[in-house]
Amino acid sequence: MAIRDIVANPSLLPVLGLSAETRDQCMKLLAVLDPTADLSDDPQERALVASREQKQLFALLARLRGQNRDAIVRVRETKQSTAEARQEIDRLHLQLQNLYYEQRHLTGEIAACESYDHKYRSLPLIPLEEFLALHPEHQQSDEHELMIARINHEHAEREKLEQARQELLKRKQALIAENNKRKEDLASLDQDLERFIDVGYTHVAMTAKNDPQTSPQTVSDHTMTTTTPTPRLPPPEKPEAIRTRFKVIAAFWAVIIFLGFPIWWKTTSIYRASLPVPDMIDWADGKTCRPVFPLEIRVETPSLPDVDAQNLLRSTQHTLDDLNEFSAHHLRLKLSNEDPDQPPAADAADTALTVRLLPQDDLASPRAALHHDTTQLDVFYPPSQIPPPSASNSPLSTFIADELQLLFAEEKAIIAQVLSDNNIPGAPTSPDLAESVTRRLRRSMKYADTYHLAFSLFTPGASPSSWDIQAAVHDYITPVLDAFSPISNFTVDTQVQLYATSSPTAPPPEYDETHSAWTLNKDDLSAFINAAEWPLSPSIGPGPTINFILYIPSPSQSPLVVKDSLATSWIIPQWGGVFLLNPPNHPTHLTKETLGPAFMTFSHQLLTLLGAPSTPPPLPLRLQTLTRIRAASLLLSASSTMGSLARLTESLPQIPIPATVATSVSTTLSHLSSACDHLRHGQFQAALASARVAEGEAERSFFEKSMVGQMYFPDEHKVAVYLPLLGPVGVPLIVGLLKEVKKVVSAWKERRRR
Amino acid sequence: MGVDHRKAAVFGGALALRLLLSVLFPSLPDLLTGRVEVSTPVTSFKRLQEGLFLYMRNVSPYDGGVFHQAPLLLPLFSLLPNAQSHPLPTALFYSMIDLVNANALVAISDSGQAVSGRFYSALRKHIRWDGVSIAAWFLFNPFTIATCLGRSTGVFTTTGILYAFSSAVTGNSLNAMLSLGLASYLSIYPALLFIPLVLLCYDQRVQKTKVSTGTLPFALQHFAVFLACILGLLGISTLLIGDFYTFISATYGFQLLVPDLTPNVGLWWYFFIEIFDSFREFFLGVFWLHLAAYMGGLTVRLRRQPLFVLTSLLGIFAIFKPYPSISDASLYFALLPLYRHLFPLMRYTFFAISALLYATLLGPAFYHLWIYAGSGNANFFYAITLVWSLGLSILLADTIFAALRDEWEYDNPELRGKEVRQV
Repeated sequence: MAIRDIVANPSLLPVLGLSAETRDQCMKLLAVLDPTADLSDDPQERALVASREQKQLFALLARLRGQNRDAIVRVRETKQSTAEARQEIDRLHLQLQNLYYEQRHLTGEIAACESYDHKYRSLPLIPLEEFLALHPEHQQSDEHELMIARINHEHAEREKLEQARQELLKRKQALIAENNKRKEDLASLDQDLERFIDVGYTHVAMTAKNDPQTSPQTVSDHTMTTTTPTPRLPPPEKPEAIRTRFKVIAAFWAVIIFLGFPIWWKTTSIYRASLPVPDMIDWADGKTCRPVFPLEIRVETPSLPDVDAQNLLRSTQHTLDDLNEFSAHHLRLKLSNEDPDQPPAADAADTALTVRLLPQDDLASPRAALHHDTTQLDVFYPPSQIPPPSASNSPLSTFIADELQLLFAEEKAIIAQVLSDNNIPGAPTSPDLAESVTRRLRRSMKYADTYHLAFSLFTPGASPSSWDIQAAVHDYITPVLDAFSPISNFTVDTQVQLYATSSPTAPPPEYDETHSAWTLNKDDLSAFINAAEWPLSPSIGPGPTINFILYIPSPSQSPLVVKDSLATSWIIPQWGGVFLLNPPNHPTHLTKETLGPAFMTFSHQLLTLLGAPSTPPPLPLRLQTLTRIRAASLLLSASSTMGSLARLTESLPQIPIPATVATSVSTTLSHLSSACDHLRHGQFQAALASARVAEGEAERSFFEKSMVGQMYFPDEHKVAVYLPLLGPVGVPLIVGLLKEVKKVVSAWKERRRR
Repeated sequence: MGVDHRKAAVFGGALALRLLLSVLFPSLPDLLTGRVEVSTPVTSFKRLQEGLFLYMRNVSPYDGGVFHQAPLLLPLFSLLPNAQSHPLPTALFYSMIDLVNANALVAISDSGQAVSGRFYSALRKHIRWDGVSIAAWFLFNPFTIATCLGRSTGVFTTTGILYAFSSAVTGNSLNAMLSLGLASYLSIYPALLFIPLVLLCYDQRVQKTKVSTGTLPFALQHFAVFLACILGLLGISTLLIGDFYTFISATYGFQLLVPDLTPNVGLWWYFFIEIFDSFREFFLGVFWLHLAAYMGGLTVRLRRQPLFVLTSLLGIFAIFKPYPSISDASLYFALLPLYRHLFPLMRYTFFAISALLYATLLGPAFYHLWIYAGSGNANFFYAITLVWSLGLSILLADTIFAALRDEWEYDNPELRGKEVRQV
């Protein structure tokens, strides 16, 4: 098939023509260039012809290219128009399809409607003629309206019939009930009649008697005719009766409401005195008071001129301040040369230490000596070492500062420990010192206002049976107790226990040849005390008991010592001390002199047990230190008790707070602040006194009996308290009230309806 | 005069029996005085003697913390010779008090107020005992005899109450108020009888004079008399003792706040031993209100029979008061036969009587087991007191039911003799 047959578009025809022409031109050119054709022609001419032909060919090609481009553009246009037309056709096709579906559906619906079988067709209506006879006004109406009218007529008829049926049903029920009642009447009638006969009356109704076989209908007819019907229900209540009942219920409820509820309110409401809770929390958190311990140290320089003394003082103070790392505890030097003769009155007790500077000629370097019975430190110095006024530092002042620092190192550590136990940052102390301080604190008794000291003499045999205890206590213990009197109170009890054997589980002492003594193993010391049999009361009164045991071994086991160390005494942490006394030639009576070493030991043990620091050695200094420690720890413990009380009262809203607690709390707070003030001014005795009062009041308020009783009484337990009695009493009352209220409401409704 | 002979015989017999018992068994009065069923902390003769001892020596009788009775008893008993060395005069005195009480009962019975009043007349009037029989029933009741021999001071309260009743039914309303004032002065709870008693007096007044003035002015007048009587007695007591507050807190405070929980036949002691301390005041209020609450309801409901209200209230007191003893029960039992006509209507008589007898017999036995033998515990005795209270409650409820039934039949004459059911 030639290309012309396919391509019929007139716009393409010139293209085809041109392309044919071009092809001819090409053939022509080929012919001209054909080397095999005619060799006779002039090659020059041939070249000329060829070039001419070529030019024509190029022109044709150029035209062809342009037309080709046009053709392609046109093809594209055609394609686009074709696509548009196609879309249009598709859309129309879809519409057509929809229309088809619609048509089919409608035909189906029409068919369904046409074939629907309505109820009214099957209704058993009355025949048309009868209906028309009944309602002649429908004669002219068309078939549709006629049918409607007929149906309505049928509906009305049926409703009428249904009503009639219901009424009949009701009548039937009533008749059945009536029947039953009549039957009962009949049954009771029998009894009545029998009783009647028993009384001896004769009656015309005798005929109706003894006829139980007759049908109930006839019997009831009989009764209807012969006796009046007896009412089985009680007669309706009279209005007075109703009113009386109302009054009775009102009387009971009046008592409940006007007396019962006030009593309930009055007796079960919880009295909560208001407490200064924020203040208490502040005390506990240490926000109100930061305990500080300014220790006053008096410096006496009898042989120095004032200027030099001042200078020395200043430089020593500087050195001390440089050395001190714990700001809460610091030493203040004070010159007391102003009136050396006048004994310092009030401040004397609060002066921590008196330093007396004494020149001594034959010394190379300063030397310090502590007095053993006073708070005095003598510093001997070579006179050459008095610092010149210009010097800021001198060996003498450094020496004094070091000496003082050393004296109070342990106290500082203990106070730091106490403070850090209560979450107040203290000074960093060396681990060794902290360790020893902790051990000491663990060993000592907890602070109490009153301690009971119990001195016991135990011996496994019959002797010694008496001891000179009064004198011994008076000589060795009473001075210590007097010294402690500002800190705590003490009672002293003594006992002698003969035939006190050690416990059977305790290992017996062994005989040590080298020391020719009976020895106890160090590890067995804890089992030495026969706690099961020896009468050592754990508490004599309020407050802890400190036991001191003097043990006299039997002659066969004497002397008795602790192995290795050969010690004869030991301390039992937080409990007391033991001393093994090995008197020569086993006396029956122990004199004061024999008891001396033992009671000396006991007094030392007492100091340790009461928490006195081990350094510095002089007793007054240790007591002062203890005063400060106790003041601090009491202050802190009372503060934390306040905090606990505040948290307790806040977390348990149902515990009562009696007025006494509020008073105690305010006393505590005032004493706490005065203690804090005293501490700040360095009056430690007064601070301790205030802190003791504060601690006592704090404990009393925290352990108030009426508060504790209520603490374990949650709300749900109240149900168990109220219900067993009030439940049974309340139920009839409430039911009566509800009934009465119901009646009143229904009567009110009745009245409104009318 | 035949009736008088009978009365004399009954009274003489009762007196002779009492004296004979205390002469033949000289230890019997002291034994009974110590029994918890007979003497309570507020009526104990022993405590009275203690108070008397202090009083005779010019010490405040309430100082010892033992004596809690009204101060006017002291001068009265100080006139009698010492009961320890001469027991007979005291026994004679107490026996005479019993006879006086019986005499009041005879007066109450003879007035017929129990069977017919202003608004109401019982249907079974003919079923009744005469006054002497009722007196005999009272005088030979073992509970009464035990109370008399135990020399409980509760008998004076009984006298006050019975005389108040007898004066009221005979129309002597002023005397009724004075007697009730005395009874209330001796032990507080008779004051609760005031309202029904005033109604009784008022009914009597109206019945006699046929003039009905307002109830309220009448009641107020009598309340003033009642109050004046009590205030007068309190005034005399204050003159006697000197310190008003001491004796008020020692007597009335003691009766109201119930600090002494010695076991007795009542229900309070065990409850208040067991109760949590914080609820003590509240339950004191509850118990007292419970006791008082019946007064209003019963008075309203049985308005037509005020004497029956009074009797029932005495029964309630015998069960629910803080320090009950058998003397309270004997007072209730004394008044019950006035309502002999109700007995046919009662339903649980057997049960109530057996419960009471059971408790009477087993109570002392269980008390002995608990206190002396130690083989029982407090629950034994408390269980018995519960049974005792149960018996009394059944009796009380039953008589109230019978009275209501009687009233109902009176209102509905056509239904007489029919079975009824409580709904």
